[in-house]
Amino acid sequence: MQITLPLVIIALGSVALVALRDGRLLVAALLLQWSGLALLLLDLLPDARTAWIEITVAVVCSAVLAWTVWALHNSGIEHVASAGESHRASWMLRQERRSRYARQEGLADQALLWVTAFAGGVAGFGLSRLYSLGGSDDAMLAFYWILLSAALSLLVHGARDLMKLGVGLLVLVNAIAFLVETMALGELNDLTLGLLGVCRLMMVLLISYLLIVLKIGFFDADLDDIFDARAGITAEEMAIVAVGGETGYYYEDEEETETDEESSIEEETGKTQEVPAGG
Amino acid sequence: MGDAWFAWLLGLPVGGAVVASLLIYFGRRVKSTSSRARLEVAALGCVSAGLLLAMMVTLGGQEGTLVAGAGFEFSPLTRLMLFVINISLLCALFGGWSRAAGPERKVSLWTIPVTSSLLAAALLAQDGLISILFLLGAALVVAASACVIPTGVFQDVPEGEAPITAGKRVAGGLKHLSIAVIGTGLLVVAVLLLSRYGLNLENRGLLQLGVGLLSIGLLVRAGAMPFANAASDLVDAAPMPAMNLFGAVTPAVLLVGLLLLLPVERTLLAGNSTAWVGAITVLLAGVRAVGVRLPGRYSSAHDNVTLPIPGELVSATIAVQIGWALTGLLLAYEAGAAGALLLAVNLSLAVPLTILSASRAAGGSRFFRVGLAVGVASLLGLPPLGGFTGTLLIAQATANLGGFWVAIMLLGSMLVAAKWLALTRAMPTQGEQSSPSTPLQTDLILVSVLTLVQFGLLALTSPMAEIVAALASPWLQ
Repeated sequence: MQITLPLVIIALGSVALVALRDGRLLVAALLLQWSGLALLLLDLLPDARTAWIEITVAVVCSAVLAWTVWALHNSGIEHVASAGESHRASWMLRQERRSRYARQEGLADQALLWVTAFAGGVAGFGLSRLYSLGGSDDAMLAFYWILLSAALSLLVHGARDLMKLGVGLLVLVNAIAFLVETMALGELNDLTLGLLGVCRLMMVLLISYLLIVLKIGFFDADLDDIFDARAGITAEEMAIVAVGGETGYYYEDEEETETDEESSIEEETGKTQEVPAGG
Repeated sequence: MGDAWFAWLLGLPVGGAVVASLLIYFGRRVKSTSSRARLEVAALGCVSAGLLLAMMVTLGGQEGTLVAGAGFEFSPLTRLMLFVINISLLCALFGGWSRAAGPERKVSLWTIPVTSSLLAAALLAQDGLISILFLLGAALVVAASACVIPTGVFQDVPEGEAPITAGKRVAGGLKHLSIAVIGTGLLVVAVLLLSRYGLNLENRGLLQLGVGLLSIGLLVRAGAMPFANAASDLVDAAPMPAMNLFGAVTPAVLLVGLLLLLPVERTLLAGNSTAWVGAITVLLAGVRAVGVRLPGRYSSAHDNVTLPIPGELVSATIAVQIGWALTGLLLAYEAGAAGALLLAVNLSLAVPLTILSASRAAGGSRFFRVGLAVGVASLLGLPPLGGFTGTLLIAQATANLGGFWVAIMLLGSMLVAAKWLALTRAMPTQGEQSSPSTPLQTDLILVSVLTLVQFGLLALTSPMAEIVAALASPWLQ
């Protein structure tokens, strides 16, 4: 088996998917891995149709995720400044805590992620040798690399990071789609290929929607705060404020700074706070 | 298109449901509906229409390119029974939708036609992979409905609600999404391996791996233990329409998957391991039921209905039915197939009966307590109700096979039954009346009809079983 350019690209993208957490870099890593997958399909399959469909799906999904990340990144302090006093205080508190955690992460923590990613690559080599499902050597190696990158992303960060969870699930379906495309007994029809793409696009749209809505609701798309509150972390450490309609809710020891107005479900005033586009 | 008649037979009720839902929604809420809500409904209406078209396109002439030569085509029996399951599912979903209010009603509204369309497309596709992908789409819609509910919470959160509820909802929705994707991945790989190695013995290990992945994938999708633990947040926090959908869709997905993928020479399957899969499912469901807490009253957040039964107990009961159906389909040939399909039909009818009756039973109404008892007894497969014959057929057919696993299945069923008995004893006989959003007359009619259907199923079971067994005979050979 030769290590070809598509396999190298897939390997680089897979390692980056496991080790990186920044949303913008994640999208770039996803696109890199997906490009390698499409190039490998061009090499393995006689018909280029499958590869071109895969490239199209990759571009569309990456564009949606990139727009989402860009919109989230650009909604910063000016958005918070328009909120009430307690909203801004809670947001600042969470930003300070996040910065403190980031400072506490040393080289060892960062290195561990990269070591895990490389270990996944080695495991992929072993699995493709031990448990070949009947495809070609290159296809099996690529499949296991993509699969393991998805599994590691889900396991390492998926429980607390919605972006990593969504990308991990998407890459998992990519691995399955790649296996189908390379091991099918006959030529896949357009409907099958289209459905494979539509399912992935639906997943991306769902994850993007959730990220945006979490940003609107909590001024932050981070799952840490939601799940910390669920675990009962005290109000002195953090505060969650959900803004909805004319009302919000607070921890018991916080004063309400907004008066209650009727926000009947029937009325649906639609007072969602739009994520501002641009800086 | 030789199967066009079938598409119209199934497409008309689904399409009618879509149109009716949209008309009802706009007719009632046009003055207060926000622009975003209108956009959502319009977009999903277009999606439903597109999916209906896709359903028509998948008919006739579609050769299973992925599974060519493995006999993964739909027999008339399969189409008929899956049609019945789909109609029953629609009844369950409308039953849940009728009880919803506020954001839940809106979510249920678009969830029903979209999911129905996807299920219809899955039923009609001849290609096994296409069917699984449509089922994934249905699962994504279910996950979206659970995840969208938190957005409803964000927008219309009541004063003073604790943030922990929002966290549980988000966690539940995301877990369900993950389970759906992982389960579908396992099913697709299983289809792939079964199609490649189902007709030759060169790689028996890969064939058995495919069977194993198939079983695990279906159990994951059905929310069987231990995967059900991951969905506990969803069970606690989701509104009842979503839970109705979850409880009704998962057994349908399971049986659709089995019917799609079963035509594999039984001598190639590890029969004992398959039986143990079913037995472990039932036993773990029983253990899970034993662990359910019974304070006497449960409610999911943002429900305006207080239910006296925990969702996890209903899910455990459904898992028991799934275990019996799995065993029947894979081991007991024609009689088992008939019993399993009868269980599927009964399940889709008994779940809405149980939920609807329970929402009213806490107020002390004897009528609804009878309805609740009928629904629960049917779910447990007790005579003289609809669930009895399916269970009996499977038990009779598998009794000759012997094995310790039969005793394990019976033990799991008994544990669940014991928990239901404990629940009915703990249920308050009088107290505050729950205040569902639907009129009492609607619930009376629905419960009456569903109860009569349970007894009617028993009367019709013998001829149905004979017909089903006769039709299944060439298909199973």
